[in-house]
Order: sequence, then C-alpha cells, then structure tokens
Amino acid sequence: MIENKNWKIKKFNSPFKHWIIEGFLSESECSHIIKHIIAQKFNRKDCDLFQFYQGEDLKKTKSTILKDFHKYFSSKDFINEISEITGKEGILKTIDMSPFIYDSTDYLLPHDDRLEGRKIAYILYLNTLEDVEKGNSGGTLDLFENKKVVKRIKPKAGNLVLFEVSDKSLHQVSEVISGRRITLAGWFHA
Amino acid sequence: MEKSKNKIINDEYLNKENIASIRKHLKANGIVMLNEFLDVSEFRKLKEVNRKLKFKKYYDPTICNYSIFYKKTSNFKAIKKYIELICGKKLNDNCQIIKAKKGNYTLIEDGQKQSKSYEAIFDFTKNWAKTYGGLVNYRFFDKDEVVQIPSSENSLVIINANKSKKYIKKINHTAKGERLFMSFY
Repeated sequence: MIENKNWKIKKFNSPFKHWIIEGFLSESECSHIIKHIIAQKFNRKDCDLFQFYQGEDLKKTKSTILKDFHKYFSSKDFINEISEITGKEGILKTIDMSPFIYDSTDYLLPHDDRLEGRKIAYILYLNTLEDVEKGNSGGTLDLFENKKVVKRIKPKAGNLVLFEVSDKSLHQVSEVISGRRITLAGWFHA
Repeated sequence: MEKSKNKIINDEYLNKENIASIRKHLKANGIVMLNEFLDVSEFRKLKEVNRKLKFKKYYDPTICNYSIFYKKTSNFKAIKKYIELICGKKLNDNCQIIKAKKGNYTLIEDGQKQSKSYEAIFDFTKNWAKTYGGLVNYRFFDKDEVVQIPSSENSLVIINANKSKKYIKKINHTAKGERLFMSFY
C-alpha cells in the first residue's frame, strides 16, 4: 500500500498549525479502501455536539486490506515521517483510527479536540463530495479564529489533513448538504 | 382551578379530575405533554406578541448560536401557576423565549448547572418535523439517558428535569421556518 508517493505537502500556520498532504492516496486506492470500509459495522452517534456514523477502531478490523492499511499508518516509520512533517520528533508514539460516514444533515460542531495525549489530529478523505468545487455540499473542515470560521478545507479524495491539537485548534465539520462524506480519522498520541 | 381565574387555558385542563390525572401521569413518567393547551384565540395573540419581541442573539461557537428574550413569568402568570400546580414546585421568576433558525444550536458545557427540579416548554412552532433538528433534549447524567421534547404548536410539556442538562439540537438545512418556544424553569 502507498507504493508510489506523490505527496505534495502544504504547511499552514494560521489560524493554527495544519498541513494538507495532497495525493496521500490515489483515487483508485481510495475506492479500494471505501469498498472495505462500507462493509464495516457502523454505529449511529448522536448528541449535542455531533451526528454521524462511526465504525470500530481499525485495529480491531477483520478486513485484511484495512488491517494492512492500519498497520502501515501505525508503523514506526510512518509515525516518524509524520513527526518530521509536524515537528513532533520523538513525541508521537501511537495512533487511533476510525472510519466515519457523514450523510446529509450530519455535522460536528465546534470543539478543539483537546484530550490527554492527543497531539496531532488527522482526517484522510476517501471521497470527493459532489459539487464540492461549488462549495455547496458541506462536509468541509472549518478552522476558527476569534470565534469565526477563517478557513474551509474541502473534502478531496486522497488528501490527508493534519492539525496540531491545542487551545487554538477550534474546528468543526460543516453540515453535509448533499452526498456522503467518508473519511478515516483519529489522532497521533504522545 | 376555575376557568374564570384562568381564561387563557383550555377548559379540559382545568377540570379537577383531569388535573389529578395529569399530576399522576407526571409523577409516574417524569414527563407529561398537554396538547392544545391554550384557548385558540389567546394562543394566537400570545404568539403574535412573542414573535415581535426584540430577541438578543447569543453566539459563542463552543456554547450556542440562537436568540433569546428573557421575560418575567408574571407576563405568563396563568401558565406559570398551572405548571406549579401540576408539579407542586415553584418556578423561577424569569422565563426564556427562544427563537431558533437553520444552523442554530446549544451545547452542553462544563459550566452549565444541572437542573434540580421541574421545567416546562411551551411551544408556538407550527409543523416542525423532528428531522429538522431544533428540538430540546434533556440529558440525564444519573441514568445516561436523553429525553427529547417533541414539538407541537400550542403544547405544554412539563418534565422532571432533576439531574439533567438541556440542549437544543442543531437545526439543519432541511428545516422550514423557525422554532419559537418558551422555557420555564
């Protein structure tokens, strides 16, 4: 998996440190993973802060493809690579990874992700929402500064988004208006 | 309670036997919903007055995004007295009138105090579908349970909200119109 790296790494400092790795996966790799993701068991999550479908952590999956992907993502080599990109050398140790599906009207309201051990949050987009270029399908990762959304990152298949978890990392997933947003997401932990 | 003292409330709910039965239902279930609670013409008048209030918008992304108007419960003396009669507890002197539209929500926050008593929601909203979001939810921390208050025009819901915190579910893009309701606590 991920034999030909055609990554284009973009670093941003504002409103808080984040990185977009374009082409982390190819579209065909995304399609392949999606086939296995949608066969997983998902639970509906619904509370004041969010509503979406969440699958089990992939370290428990029985799918060989997903198990391999999880093994790659949680490997020392890969964690070191992410540590270098994010300037967290020697800090990042483990990951967790769950699949998420957001259908129409699903969302994740503003929060900062802070919880003990979480250092870098990540979202790997497995599909591109329809009409995403027009910006009307929702499902964007919105970054806040001074209580206002100052940046919207559109879901694009194969892109990996990383951000530093801190008291500044206020973000949300905007409500999905049309289509289905499928991602793998979690954190790199200390 | 006689009609002469409570002209705005539907006669059905002033009948002694019905009052006893409502109290019994509330005690047994922790919640009771009274549809067509106000006399229709009184309801329309009250709705019109409340709709025109100058609401104050509250926005903090990690707490809430909605509009409120605080009013003395003396303006709604009959409703307040009726709720107190049913639950047997005194209510706060203020009530909130809440207006919420697409994108609005409130979140449970650490600084929010748990309710210790009965609360009530009086609803002005017409034809509000559950799928729009926007309903009031009580999260009970001792039972790890969430109770959602249905929306129905001219309905009063009284709930034993002890050990709960409430939130308004985010209103999504499919919603038509606005939510308007009063919260007694």
